[in-house]
Amino acid sequence: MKKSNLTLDSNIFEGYHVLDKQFDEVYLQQNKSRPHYQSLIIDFARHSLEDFRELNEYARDSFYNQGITFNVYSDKSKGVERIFPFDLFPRVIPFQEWQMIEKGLLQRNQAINLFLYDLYHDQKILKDKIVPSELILSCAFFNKHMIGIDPPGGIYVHIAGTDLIRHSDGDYYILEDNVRCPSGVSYVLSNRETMKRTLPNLFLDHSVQSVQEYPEELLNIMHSVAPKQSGDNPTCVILTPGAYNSAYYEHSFLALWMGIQLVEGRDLFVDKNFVYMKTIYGPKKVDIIYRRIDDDFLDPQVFRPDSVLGIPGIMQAYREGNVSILNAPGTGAADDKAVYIYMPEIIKYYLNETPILKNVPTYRCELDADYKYVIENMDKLVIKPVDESGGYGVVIGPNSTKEELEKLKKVVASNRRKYIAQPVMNLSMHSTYIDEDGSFSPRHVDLRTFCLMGKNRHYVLKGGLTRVALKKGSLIVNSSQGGGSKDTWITSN
Amino acid sequence: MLSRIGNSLFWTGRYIERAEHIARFTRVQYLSSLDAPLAQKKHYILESILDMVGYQFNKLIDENKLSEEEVLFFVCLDPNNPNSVIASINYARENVRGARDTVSSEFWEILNKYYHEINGYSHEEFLSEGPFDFSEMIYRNSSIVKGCIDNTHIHNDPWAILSMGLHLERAVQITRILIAKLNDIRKIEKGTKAQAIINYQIGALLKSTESFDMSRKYFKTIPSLINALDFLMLNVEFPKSLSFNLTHASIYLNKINLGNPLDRTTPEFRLEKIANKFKYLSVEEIEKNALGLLEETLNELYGIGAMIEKKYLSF
Repeated sequence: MKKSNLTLDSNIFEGYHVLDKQFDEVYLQQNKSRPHYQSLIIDFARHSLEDFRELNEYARDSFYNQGITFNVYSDKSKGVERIFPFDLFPRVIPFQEWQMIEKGLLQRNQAINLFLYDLYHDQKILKDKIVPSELILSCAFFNKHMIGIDPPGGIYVHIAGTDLIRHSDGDYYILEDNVRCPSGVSYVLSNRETMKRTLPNLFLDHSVQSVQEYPEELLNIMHSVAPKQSGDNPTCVILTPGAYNSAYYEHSFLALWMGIQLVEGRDLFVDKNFVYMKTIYGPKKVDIIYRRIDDDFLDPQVFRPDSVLGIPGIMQAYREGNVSILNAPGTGAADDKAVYIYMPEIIKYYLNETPILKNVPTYRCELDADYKYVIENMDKLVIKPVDESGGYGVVIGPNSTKEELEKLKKVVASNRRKYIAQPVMNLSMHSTYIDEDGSFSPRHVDLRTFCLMGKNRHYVLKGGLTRVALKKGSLIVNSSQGGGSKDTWITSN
Repeated sequence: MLSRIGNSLFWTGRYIERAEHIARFTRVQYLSSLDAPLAQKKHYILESILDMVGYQFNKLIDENKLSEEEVLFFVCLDPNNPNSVIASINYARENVRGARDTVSSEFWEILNKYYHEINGYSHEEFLSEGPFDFSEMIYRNSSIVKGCIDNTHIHNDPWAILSMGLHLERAVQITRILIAKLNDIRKIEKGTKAQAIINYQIGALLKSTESFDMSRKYFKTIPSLINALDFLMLNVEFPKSLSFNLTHASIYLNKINLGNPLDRTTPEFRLEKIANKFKYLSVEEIEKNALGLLEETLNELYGIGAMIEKKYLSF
């Protein structure tokens, strides 16, 4: 049966308004859905809003009972647990469109790995003045202890969490390269699980690419970069800061799905430059560590001496090649938001290719001309610190008061290296069920992707985490600041 | 398995079992008091309940000015009382949260639901209804959780440590209940009603340990005090008896020890020794000084618990 475009006035999407000058992922125009959403809209229209409210409730309970929560720190002894809000209406990306994204992500992350190898060895790209030396040498995440170290397979970034947005021109742009400890993948897998529990029939009608192989692929990537002497069955662990960390659910989830041990710094120690974990039978050698703690906390002998999360001596063990660390220390030099500006040149320099995915035009406040432009146009720009993540420190000019911008100008002037500015990118919109209104409304979305790179192998998770800014008009999608998420479907034709 | 995880699982088993025993003891004592023969005033019942969770009645009442209902709330639902039922479940859940990569998702989800149910239990409802519905909820969840522990895990080290904690704690709780009830019986004044009150206390003892039905089936009569002690201390086939639990705790501890030689200073040796002691004791031997034997056993169990922690679970 041919499925026709559904009019909006006959179903749960009644009252949904496609906004002007915005790219709506679901609708081409008022009352007319995009072709790849048509059958999904017909399926959803079988439910009344009351049904949907109940389904939403069911999904929420499912997350709660599974303990899929993140911690919000409070003055009470135990952190407050919150559910990451989940919207049942999935985002759909057609397979052909996805293929382009996947190619672009692999290209970008391949170049980032070559760039990092170069930075910590010959620094040819600096000598050739493609990237300014002072930019790298002043980068807070450029790690001098990594100079001369050869990580297995030359891979520094094993897990990249590149953030993509779709602008109102319909094109995808890379917003950030998250190549330190990107999180969110557990929500991708849990969202899919909850979708299957809540609306199982949807999956019978649509051919959706699987996401559940991610943990196995990650384990394969870990094995591919094992130290030479670790043998056929290397011991892999995930290193977490502990149960009170906001991403602890993800750490334990990945360890469980990969069947490996989740350890804290206090479970590990270094002896004669080998890393061991303390088991009930005594010490057991550890070969590969997927660390989810920042560089600064890894080794109190080398980095922050007050770190109680890390393992004294681990950097020396790493230097000797006795343990592999994912991602390698020092990868933050590549996701500094000022270094981001040079990514198209970096791709061309190492791969001799044209970048597949676009960069958002970015102004480096450290450069005089850019700085002048930023100061004069701050009310039209988004200003970001180069070394923060999670949306922290981001100021959206058009949403700020004059006083706030004047204050910001002084802050930027006092440390120009620390700030970049970008035009306000109109993140695309997606129909989203809003609990308080009991109806669907357009909300801004982005896409966190997950790209794995190992020795002679790579993998891109099909889809990723579609994050939704639940607050009307908001562009901030981060979970810590009122964001939610959606299941992301890569569908075949 | 990491020592830290071993420690978490050991205590998870202990807390799950502890919560169930406190809830059951509280309910049985409370319900029994409603139709108790004379002299068994509420005061004594509350004293017995507090004794079981390690508080001195007079001290607590004087210091905190608690009403009877508030005492029950304090034992069951007060999160600030580290020995309450709710605190035990909160600790159990916190321990498993730190070991989620080791346990099954099913176990975690069931325990998490248990945690949310107890933390969502209404204070007002508890105060107005008493501990009946509350303890029903505890048994139901505890049974599901323990079924899940056994049926969703490989029966290897982590499961053995959890199970060992569970059996060791049950042995401790049964011992504490026996001591509390023997003390209650000792306080009964001689007189015409004395035997009726003793029978009532024996009934309360057996119900507090879920042994009421099975002990009658076993003895084919209403058990006497010595029958009850025989059943709860020496029966090798009944899962609530001391002998059964010590033997099982010893089996699981030896499973972790992987057959390494046991010298007299190891917890394996000490646990096996006390398990065998109960296996070969006669009812006549316990009759002479049951209370003394139980107090000695309790101290020994605490000592063994500390040795296990030192040998395997320190990190």
